[in-house]
Amino acid sequence: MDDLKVAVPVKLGIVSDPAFLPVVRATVGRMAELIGFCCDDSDKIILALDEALANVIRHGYDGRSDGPVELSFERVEREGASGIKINIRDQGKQVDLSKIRSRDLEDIRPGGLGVHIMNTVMNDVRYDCPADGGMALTMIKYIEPAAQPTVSGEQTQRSPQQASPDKST
Amino acid sequence: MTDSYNVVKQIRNTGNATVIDVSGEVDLQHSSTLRTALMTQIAAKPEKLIVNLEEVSYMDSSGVATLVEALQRMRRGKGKLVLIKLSPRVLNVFEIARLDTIFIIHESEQEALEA
Repeated sequence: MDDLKVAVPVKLGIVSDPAFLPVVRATVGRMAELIGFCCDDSDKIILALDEALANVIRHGYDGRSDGPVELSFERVEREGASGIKINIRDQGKQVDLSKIRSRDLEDIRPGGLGVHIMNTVMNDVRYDCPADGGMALTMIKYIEPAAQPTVSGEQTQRSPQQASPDKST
Repeated sequence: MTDSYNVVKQIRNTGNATVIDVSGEVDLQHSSTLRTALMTQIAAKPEKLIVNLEEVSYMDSSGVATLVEALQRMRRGKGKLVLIKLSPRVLNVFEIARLDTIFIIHESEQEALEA
């Protein structure tokens, strides 16, 4: 199959059951590869999305497994760089946006790593509280210039991942 | 949807260590199974608990959090928790969470037993 060139969103509708997470991971991983992300970056995108959905399940729906979750994945472009835009829309509890932030990683304790992972992996992470309820999350990641596919379809050596600032607060 | 597999493949005793062989995807759905196994073994106060992640194809922060909790409990009991055979994909999660230096990580079970 040729690499994905057209910006047509791929949409998935699931419920807030962790059993659906492997399905979502497989879908976004394949889409990221088709857009041109290297395996390492595809894995990071999968992880960021997984963490976002885990937060929806745990915090938005308080562990309920029947809450609706709509997802879309779309190829985007910025200054010649291809990327992936991920939208997550739920009907769970709305959260004070100022309280969504990474915790202090010097405090070694279980939990609370999801937002840090999302902010580190993705170039842009934006939460919104829509007027009709629930939460909306948009995450975007672009292929780093050094990792853009070459004419032959192979990828050149990419520079180390740069941690992006926390944009969710 | 139902849970189709157990991420805790095997628990065995080797010398002064207890080894837990983990497999599959340690995510939100399955990390509680790993937590139960870890806490049960830690309650028996092993001198060393080795967690073999060779067959773990994916781990999210719930899996990492489970291992952090186990590490802290082992330390409180003066025991040692060692992770072995992490794939680059799994190690990457620890690195992003900046926890790769907190754990004792070895490439083989023999190294972990001798550590």
